[in-house]
Amino acid sequence: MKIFSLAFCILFVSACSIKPIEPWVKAHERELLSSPIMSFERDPVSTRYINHVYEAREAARGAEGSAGGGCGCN
Amino acid sequence: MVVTNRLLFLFSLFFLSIYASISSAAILPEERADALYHSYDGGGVTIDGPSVLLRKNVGEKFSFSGNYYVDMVTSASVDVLATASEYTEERTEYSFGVDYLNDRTIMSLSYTNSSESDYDANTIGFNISQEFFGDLSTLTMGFALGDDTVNATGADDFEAEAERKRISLGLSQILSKRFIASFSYEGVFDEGFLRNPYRLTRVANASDPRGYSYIQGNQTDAGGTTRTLCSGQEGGRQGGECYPETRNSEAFAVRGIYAFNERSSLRAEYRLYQDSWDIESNNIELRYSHQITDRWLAEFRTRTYQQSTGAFFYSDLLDLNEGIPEFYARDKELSEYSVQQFGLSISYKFKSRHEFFNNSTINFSWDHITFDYDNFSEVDNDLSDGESLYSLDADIIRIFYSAFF
Repeated sequence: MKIFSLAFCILFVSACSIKPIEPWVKAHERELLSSPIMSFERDPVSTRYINHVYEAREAARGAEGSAGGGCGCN
Repeated sequence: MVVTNRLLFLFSLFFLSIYASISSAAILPEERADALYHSYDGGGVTIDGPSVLLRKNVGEKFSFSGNYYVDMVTSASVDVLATASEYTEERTEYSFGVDYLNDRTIMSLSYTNSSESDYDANTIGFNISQEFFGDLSTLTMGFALGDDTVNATGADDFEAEAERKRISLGLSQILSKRFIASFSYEGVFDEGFLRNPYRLTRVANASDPRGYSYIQGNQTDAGGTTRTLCSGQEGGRQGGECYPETRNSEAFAVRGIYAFNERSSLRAEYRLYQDSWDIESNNIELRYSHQITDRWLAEFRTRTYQQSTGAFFYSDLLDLNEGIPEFYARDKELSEYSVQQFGLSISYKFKSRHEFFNNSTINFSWDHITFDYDNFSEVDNDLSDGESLYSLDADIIRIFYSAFF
């Protein structure tokens, strides 16, 4: 029991001493991140089209980054 | 599913409440205009047409967007040729959206209408995104509701409805000065008339010279009992296929982009999918982007999709002597198959300023896709073809001009 109490105290003190996590990439360090090569989808109209191609020909749907209506596959 | 939704909601509230105090302002999407020509050619199907997008801000808090899209279809696919002949049709889609920026939050509302001669779909969507943690993290949530009306050419009295709901959750995280990762979840819940009103199911038939025929309407089982197939889903070609009237699916995706240097990056994606029809699939995609010069940008990509388990009611050749199942279909998209794709894009940036916009780009993309089906046979009414597993190759082209205001 004493061991558990000691362990709890150590954990509690350790937890209190942990500093909040700060953002580790500052605004002035994000030049590369704003480059076109770092964009998940550069061109929405093109992305929307290719996602429609996939959704009409594959059973999977969702979590592709854009949504559209209609089927176009009858 | 209710439990899942509640967990998602609590998860979202948790993140928002913790980090809201240490974030800064978000920005509206980039103002732009795009004019695209698209083309798909493969498997006896050609689809092409334009897509035009315009996005413009009004003041500092609102962004409006509109998209006009057309599919012009000529189809002589293996599905069509099995029981019918080539057809042409056109699908037109209009989308409108508005985004509202409030400090670190962007709320978006959208409406989409898609119409073709035998299918009309209306979708409304709501999205909210929140930046926090010094703009390193972006949380997005979305909900969309779709209402589809299905008709069938040649059956004027037929009309059916389908309702679709989508819920999505995403988290994007800047991990370092050259690495961004994201997680996405989307659940889709369909209810109503979910089958194709034209396609027929193939059944073994010893009395037919081909050894098979296509079922339609009433059928008599081995015990001599006659049943009207797929009762409750009459319309189109009655009893041609019989689908469940609900379908729930979940998809999870992780993506990451890593910059090797100022000119090149690699984007990777993995998505896992499963649904209540027992379909399981996954896809992996890699994209390598290279800024050749300040004006030229190239991208090379490869993608693979594996549908390892088909729908529980899929059948390439149904044997009615084993009984008439409650659900059955011969839709190749519900079978087991794999897809291999590779493609490239090249983009050129015009730097000269115009009276109305700052700069513009012209873009060309080409993709080649191969579909290999594991349990879908190539059959049509030409007996000399024999019967083998089906595969198809397709080429996809996108050419578009983009102007940025």
